[in-house]
Amino acid sequence: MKRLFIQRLEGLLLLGLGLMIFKLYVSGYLTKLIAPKMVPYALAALFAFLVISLLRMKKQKQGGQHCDCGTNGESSSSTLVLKYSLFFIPILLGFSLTDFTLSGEVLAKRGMAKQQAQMVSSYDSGKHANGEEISVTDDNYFEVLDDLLNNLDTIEGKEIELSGFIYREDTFTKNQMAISRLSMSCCVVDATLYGYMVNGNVEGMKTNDWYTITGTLKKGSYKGEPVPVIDLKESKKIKAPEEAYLYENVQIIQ
Amino acid sequence: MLLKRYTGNLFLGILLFLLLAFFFLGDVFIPKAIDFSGYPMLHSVFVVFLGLFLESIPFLFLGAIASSFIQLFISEEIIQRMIPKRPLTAIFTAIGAALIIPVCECAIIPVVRRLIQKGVPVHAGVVLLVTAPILNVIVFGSTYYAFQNNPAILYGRIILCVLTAIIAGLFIHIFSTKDVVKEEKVELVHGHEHDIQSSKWTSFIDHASQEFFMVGRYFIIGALFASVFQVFMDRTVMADIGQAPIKGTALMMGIAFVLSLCSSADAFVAASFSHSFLPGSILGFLVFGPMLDFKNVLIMMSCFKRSFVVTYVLLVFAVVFSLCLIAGGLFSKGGF
Repeated sequence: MKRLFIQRLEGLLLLGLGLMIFKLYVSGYLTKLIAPKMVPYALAALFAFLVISLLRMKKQKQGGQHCDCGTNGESSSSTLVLKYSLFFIPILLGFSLTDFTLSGEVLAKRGMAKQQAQMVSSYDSGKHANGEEISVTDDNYFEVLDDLLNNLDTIEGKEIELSGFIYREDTFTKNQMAISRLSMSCCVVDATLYGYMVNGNVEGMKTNDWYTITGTLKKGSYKGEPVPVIDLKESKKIKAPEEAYLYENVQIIQ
Repeated sequence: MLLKRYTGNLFLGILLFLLLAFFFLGDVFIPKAIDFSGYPMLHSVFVVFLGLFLESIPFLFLGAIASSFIQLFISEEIIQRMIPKRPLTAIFTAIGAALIIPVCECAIIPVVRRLIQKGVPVHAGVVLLVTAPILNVIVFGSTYYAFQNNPAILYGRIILCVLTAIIAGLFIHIFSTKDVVKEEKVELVHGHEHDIQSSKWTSFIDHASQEFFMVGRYFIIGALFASVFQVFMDRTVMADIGQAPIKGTALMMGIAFVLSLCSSADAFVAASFSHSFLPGSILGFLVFGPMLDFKNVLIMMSCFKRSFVVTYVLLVFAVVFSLCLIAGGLFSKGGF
């Protein structure tokens, strides 16, 4: 009987895992935890979990029965439940969490990443840096950052408009902040922070709040590296967007 | 007996009820009852843990399915015939197999355990463990993109991985015993012949599910540790040690171990370190991380004997560490 109990417990846990993925997917939270390219795998797992959980629920006929000779015979029910109870951690977290942002303190321990000319499909160098007004969107985020970094000497005085959340480190002065975005390539574990340093009257802007800002560019530095810096002109508080992350789309070399 | 059966089913029934209650109402009640906003770090640990779990769980499950497929449908004779007798040829065959198998670290460990049980020599198994996470197209692609300015990192990653596999494989061939796989009680039970087709499928499901829960248990513990480190480790302080070749390499390997990133994503994180660490140290991160990290070691504990896990960890660390120092030396001389 214990055999059947374990079998059904496993079925129940698989059901729970499946429902957890389902709930996150339906509520749109899944892409805040894993990148869109990983979602199909999660959905395949969801499907497999539900199917197998149903198979596990039903009492096995003669076929499986002769496997019933002393499996797990030594461990008592309570230790068994304890072993399986670990699986309730992810299930309950998935059911109950609604806020999937990493806190500002955590991000400050990672620091801002320097753009590594990565994930940028080929574009004409200077396309963005030479234009009079630069408008940054999700789609051209890395392209613009890359272009500006490569043309630091010619960007002085150009206008830029972009959105992001406010990020601060302990070493920033009260007139400094960064307007930044998080990007993920597989899941929230590898979330990397990108951003622009902003100078100006920024005291009133709270860390982690989202803003759209406009300002003029100049060459400055972050941790000794030359980077583009924005002199703040205008700022407008906005709501955090649905798609808070930028996704690094790695295409396999064709 | 009847009473026991009754309590068991009652217990499961209550569990099912609780699961459904949480499914429908968890996000309504829990955030009100427990407010995480006072503990941003703890909240971040949970978020990171859930991300790590969701990212890996499809592959863990795939590994369990592949492993039980091998267990039930591939006979020992076939494997004996496929694996070359001579150790060096076996090692290269395993490297070739790793190139073809498109799985990463979570999935490969139970598969290797099963293969060793089916008679694959331990050294070939070790080669698979070392190479499978790195030698695949997705990892090549992400490394290439993350280090476009410095293709030597991509080549270095591949070369060091293959060298590590050869050295570790030979070492294991010479010194290690055959008896490395942790025996499970379940195993003995399923050794019976399953002659009826339908019963074979039932036990396939049976196996896959049991394997998944056994490996998953260890994985959850590893993932919990990894998420605590992810959240509490201050990466900005590390940068100060980055320019010393020996300390830097050891540190990067340590970081790779505790962060437990997936091998197809770690290149981007490595790139974010690349302005403060030397190329040799970056290679340490990229080569060691996929082979060994918190979650891997715990998954290995579920599959292999403790003595083998310890040998494997020390061996891989020593080999990768020395190879990275050599590579770092070549880098600084401009040899690449």
